[in-house]
Order: sequence, then structure tokens, then C-alpha cells
Amino acid sequence: MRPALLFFLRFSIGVFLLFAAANLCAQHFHFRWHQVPNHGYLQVVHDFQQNDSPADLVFFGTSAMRNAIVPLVVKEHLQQQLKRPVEVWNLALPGATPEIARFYVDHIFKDHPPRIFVIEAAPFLWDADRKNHPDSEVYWRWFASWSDLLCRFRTMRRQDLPDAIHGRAWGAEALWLQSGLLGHHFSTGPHPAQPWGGVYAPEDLQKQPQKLSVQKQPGMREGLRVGSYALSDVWRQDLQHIAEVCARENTQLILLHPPFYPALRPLFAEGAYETYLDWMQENANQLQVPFLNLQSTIRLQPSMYRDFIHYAPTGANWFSQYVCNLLLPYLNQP
Amino acid sequence: MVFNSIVFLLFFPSVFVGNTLLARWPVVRKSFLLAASYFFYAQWDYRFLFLIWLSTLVDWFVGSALGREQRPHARKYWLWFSLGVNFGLLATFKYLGFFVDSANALLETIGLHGNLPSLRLILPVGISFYTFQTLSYTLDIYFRKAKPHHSALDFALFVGFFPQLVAGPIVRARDFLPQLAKNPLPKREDLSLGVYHVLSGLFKKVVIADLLGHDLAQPFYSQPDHFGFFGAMSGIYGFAFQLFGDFAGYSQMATGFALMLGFRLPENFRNPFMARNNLEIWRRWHITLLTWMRDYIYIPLGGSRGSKAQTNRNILLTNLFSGIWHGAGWNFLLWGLVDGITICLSRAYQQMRKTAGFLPTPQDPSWMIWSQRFLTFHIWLLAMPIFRTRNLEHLSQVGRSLTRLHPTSTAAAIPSRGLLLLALALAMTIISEYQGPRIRRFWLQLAPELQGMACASLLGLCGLLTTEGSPFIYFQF
Repeated sequence: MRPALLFFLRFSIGVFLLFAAANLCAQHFHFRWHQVPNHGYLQVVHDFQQNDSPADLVFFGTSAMRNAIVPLVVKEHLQQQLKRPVEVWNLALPGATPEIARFYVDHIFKDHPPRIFVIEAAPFLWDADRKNHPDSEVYWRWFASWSDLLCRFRTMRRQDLPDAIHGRAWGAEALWLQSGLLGHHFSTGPHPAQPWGGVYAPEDLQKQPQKLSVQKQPGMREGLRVGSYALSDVWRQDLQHIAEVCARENTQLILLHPPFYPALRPLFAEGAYETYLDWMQENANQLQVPFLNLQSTIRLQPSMYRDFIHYAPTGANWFSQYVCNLLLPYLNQP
Repeated sequence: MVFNSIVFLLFFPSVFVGNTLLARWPVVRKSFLLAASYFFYAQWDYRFLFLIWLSTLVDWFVGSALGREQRPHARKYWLWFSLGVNFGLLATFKYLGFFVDSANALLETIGLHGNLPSLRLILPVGISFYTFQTLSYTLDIYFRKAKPHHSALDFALFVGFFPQLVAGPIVRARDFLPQLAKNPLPKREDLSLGVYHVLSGLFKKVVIADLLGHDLAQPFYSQPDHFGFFGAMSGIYGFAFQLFGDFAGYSQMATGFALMLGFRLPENFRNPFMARNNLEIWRRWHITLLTWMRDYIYIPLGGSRGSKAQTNRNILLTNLFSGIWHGAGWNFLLWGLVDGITICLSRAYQQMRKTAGFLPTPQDPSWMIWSQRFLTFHIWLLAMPIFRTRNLEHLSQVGRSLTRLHPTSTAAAIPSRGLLLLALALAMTIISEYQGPRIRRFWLQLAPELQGMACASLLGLCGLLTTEGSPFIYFQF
């Protein structure tokens, strides 16, 4: 019995050593087994980290922000106005949460703090009452660290545990933090640049504007209603931490509320949206951070929406240019 | 669950550890292997376990009865009972649709309305393989080449042993049951060699077969009208090596896994494309099926003991049977017939050379050896489109593409990766023929850690190049 088990043990050591070495070198050689299944959102962040030029403007948020801002449009518009090169990035990703925003300022911006950091301040980031709030599966899959997992595994949702273990040992995050032991999410090959601002243009951005109707979007009603009245202290702490880090790095933090489709408004629980707005304004005042609530300021045409919260390409183009004008004063500051 | 899947990567080490830890208790160990084998099979469809159990039970009891029964009539009835059940299973699940469709087509041809009902049954994976295995047990006992085995557990494990259950090699009871009785444990050399076979088979399947299928064979056979001569030939070559890589790869992996568990399976492929005549191809390709056909069909029919005409008849019948074994379709029958004809012609040619005192030897000049190999391979290759195509119309499209110098569509470009893989497959075949034993000796000398690294490298390469868990072609048989 012993020779067989001994062989198996020694063999396994060989397998482990080679996989560990490949995994640890993977990031260095830009080497992946196959496409990371995140529609390229994480690839954009990876490219951001590799970019030598410091970023002037970084947007962050959920899919709403991802669909609302076209970095190339913002860049061209600002360059015309400022008469100098401008680096613009949209690092928003679907299902983003405040703790992911916190991860970004702590890790992604560590060596590359942007000049201006615009975070989506619509309810869908801070108070979406989603199934994946407050402990987001996205966070556990891609961003949490081993220590996070070890400290919080007792309180995290059971269904997030496999994702978390997978992400630490096998996922793209393991590659970034060079802590992975095994990896199967690798691929090689160039990543074609897309005009939509990321390396990959998510499929949802390619859709044409749809005629919107409340009755036709039950899924939206289910997933994205604003429901909670007592916004979490954890999120307040996240926002505070983000503001502190930004202040320390001389990054101007701006909270931006892109307007959602007005027909969504009646779907919110009574009083919830106002409570949220008050909460956000109160925090912004305390942290001395601008809160640009565009829900009551501007109104996009219905054809500019793809659904209740995501913009169609025409809407994103228009909104991107509008935001440029809002952000110019901050970029003009020394 | 296929061998080249992540799930199997978790399954096999568990079985290996269990097999090793339970080695001291043979009955427990074999029960564990049997349970693991049934679990493996149930991943396709647990309902078809009943068919394996039926085949196992029937042939176990028939074998016991044949061992006790001495009267020729009674023995014959028992044999027919076993044949009836096993071929009945095959006829029902594999051929019923074909028979009914053919009968309907025949009725239509003679002006009658063919409306016979047909059950569209799912083909149970591996049915052609395990029924032949159980039949080999009863036939050996009937022909008094073996005695009934004392252990039902051993017999059940012989039938259901997972490495060879779904796509061979077809194991003979008289070869495998004695191994089970001895309760063998894998030695260090067996483990190393087992890993070598698994990796080699995986490379053949995942890198050669799947990619050649994707790059050359599939594009050509799906649209033969688009291709000219060179594209057609690359598609035909591609399919030949795809079929070989797929099937030989699977067999080799099965051999490797069995070896790591302590059991030896028979060799199933021996570089068939290095054969110097068509007779020799069939001693190197799917060896276990061909030897089964030889022992249980060709020889009982009379073999080569009668006249030349009788021998040729026996060869044709055996090959027709081999053809229909591969699939329920007229193209398989035709393919079997064509193969039978080439074997008869090859035999006649060898006879002529023997009469002239000019038989091939290993000392023949290289140009002669290589030209014989070239010719043999291409004669065999020309029958491949019959095997691959769906019907006569499809076959004629393939034929027309061979007569066309230029492709008719820009979509018929031959990918360079496919041609490189073809060259690689050819190189591997040649290297394996001449340096195979040396490579194996070198491998056996490597430390297990280095073997593990080689395994990880290959798994990584497979992960880079392919998608996980692509099925094996011979599962459909």
C-alpha cells in the first residue's frame, strides 16, 4: 500500500509545484487559460493598473454607471476644452457594491491614485435591496482577500462561500494578488480595444433602445427596488473610508447620481427613495464631498434608455458630454 | 463523465486512494471498485445501469449453467439464450430504428406505404462493448476454453470496470478474471507507466483529435461542396487522424487508469498507420474488437480452413459484422464490405508474393517499407469517407470535391494550425513506432515529482487549447 500512496503523494507535489509556479508567473507574463468570465470588466481594471499615465478621471459604479459613461467621449470632450491630454477610465462593473469601491481605493488606486474619482451615488450601489447586498457575490468572487474570507466566513452567506474559495484559489483575483495556488482561468491573445471605453464592450451595451414599459420589465421591479429604510452603518463606514483615502491621496471624490427612468420611481417602497437621498446628502455634507444629484436636474428622452436604469448608446453619449461640463471646474483646479 | 473532464479529475484520485487503502481486503476492494464503476456509468444515465445488470446476471447464470450442463442440446439452448438476450439488447437499442427505417424505405420502393412504428431510443453508452465482453465469457465456456468463474463479484467487476466500460478495450473474461482472483496491486512501475499512458492518451485526444476535428475534418465534411482537392484531402486526412487520436487516446487512457489500479488491459492500438499491408492494419487497429471477431465469428464460420472462396466469404461476413457493429447505417455496412474486399485482395496479394518467394521482411530497403506504408495507408484512407458521411448524397459530394482542383468558396481555406497538427500527428506516429519503447523507458526513470510536473504541463496545455469534456467519437458505438 505504501509505495502507491507515496507515489501519489510525490506525484501530487510535482503537479502542485508546477501549477503554483505557473499561477504566480501568470500575471507577469499576461498569461491566462481562458477568458475570465466577467465580460472583460476586470481586464479593464488590469489595464488601468498597467497604464503608465496617471488617470485624471475614474468612474465607478454598477452597470448603470458602466452604461452611462463612455470614456472616449469624455476624454475627447475634455481634451477639446482643456487643450491637454486627459486620461479617463470607466471601472464600473455590474453588481458593484460599496465594499468593492472600498477595495478599489485600497488596492487598485494604491500606486495610481486618480485626480478625480466619481462614484455612482444612485440607490443601486448603496441601497438596492438586492439579493447580493450587503455581502456581494461579486465581491467574494473577485475581490475579497484570504484574511477577509477567514475573518468573515462565519457571517457571510453560505451560498457565497464556494465563490469565495474559488475566487481566492482559482480566480482572476488570485492572479492579481499573486496568491493563487491553482488557476484555470487563463488565456493568451491580444484584447481588441473597443470604442466603448473598455477593452471589452459588454453585450448589454450593444442593444438598441427599447420602448419602455413598466409592465414589460418585471425582473427590474423585482431586483432593483429601493426598499430599506435604515441604511447600513457599514456602508456609511465604507463611504467615510473612501473619502479619507481620497483626501489623503489628493483625489477629488465626487458622488454622482445619474438619472434613472422616471417610470421606475413609483416602484420604490414609499418614502424609501427620499430616505436614501437624505442619507446620501447628509453623508456628503459631513465628508465635504460634492453630491451631484441629477435625477431632479436633467431628464433624458425615453429613447435614450435601454431599460429603467441603463442608458442606450445615444443616452450614454449625451450623458457623457453633460457630465464633462459638470466636472470641468474640478479638472481646472490645481 | 468523460476522462478529459474536471469531474473525472476529482473522481479518479478518490478511487485510486480507496483502491489502495482497501487493498488488504479483496472483497471490500472489489466492491468499492464496482460501486465506483456503477457510479461512473450512472453519470451518463442511471437508467441504463439496469441493462448492464441484466447482461451481467444473464451471462453469469448462463456461464454457471454451461459449466454444469454436459448435454450438447442443452448447452446450445443456453448459448442461444445468452446470444438472444445480448443481441436483443443491441438490436433494440442500437438497430431497431435502422431496421424500421430500412423496412419503411423498402416498402416505399415497392409501392407500398411504409408506416412501421419506430421507437427512438437513446443509445446506452458502451452497450456494444460490454455486451461483447459478457458474450466472450459465455462463448469461452461453451467452446470449453474457460471454466465458469466462482465469484459473482469478480464477474460483475469484469463487466462493469469503469476504465474500459464505455469504449473498450474489449476485455476477455479469461484474461481479466484471473487478475481479479489474484487481487493485484500496482507496483511503482505500473503507476509510472499508467500515468504515461494517461498523458499520452490525453494528448492524442485533446490536442490531436479534437483540434484536427475542429480545424480540418468538421469544416470539410459539413460542406464538402466548398472544397477542392487539397481541402478534401486535408479533411480526409484530418478525420483519419482524428478518429485514431480519439479512439486510441481513449483506449490508452483506459489502459493507464486500469494499470494505476493494478489491472492490465489488452493493447488496442499499435501504430496502425505504420502497417505495410491492409491485413496488418487490422492487427494494429482496434485489436480487441478484431480479435473478438476473429475468435467468435471468423473461426466458427470456418476461418481459412476451407477453400479460397470460403475464406473470402468468411472475411467478408466478418467485416460486414464489424461494419454494422460500428453503427446502424448502410454506410457502416458498406464500409465493412469495402474493408473486407481490401483484406481479401491484400491476402491474395500476399499469397502471390509468398509463391514468388518475396514476402516483406523488416530488412527490406527503407524506400520499399515506406512506399508500402504510404500505399496501405491511402487504400485504408479512401474507405474513411464512407464511414464518416451520412448518406450517398453526402458521399458523392465528398467524391466530387476530390475531382475539383480549386475550392468553390473562400470559406474553404485550410487553417495552418490544422496542417501543423497533421504534421505533428504524423511525426508522433513515426516516433512512436521507432522510439516508443525508449521513450517509455526514459519516462519510467523520471522521479514522480517530475512526472507530476509533466502531467501539470500537459493539463495546462489541454486547458489552453480546448474546451473541457468533449465526448469521444466511439461513445456513439
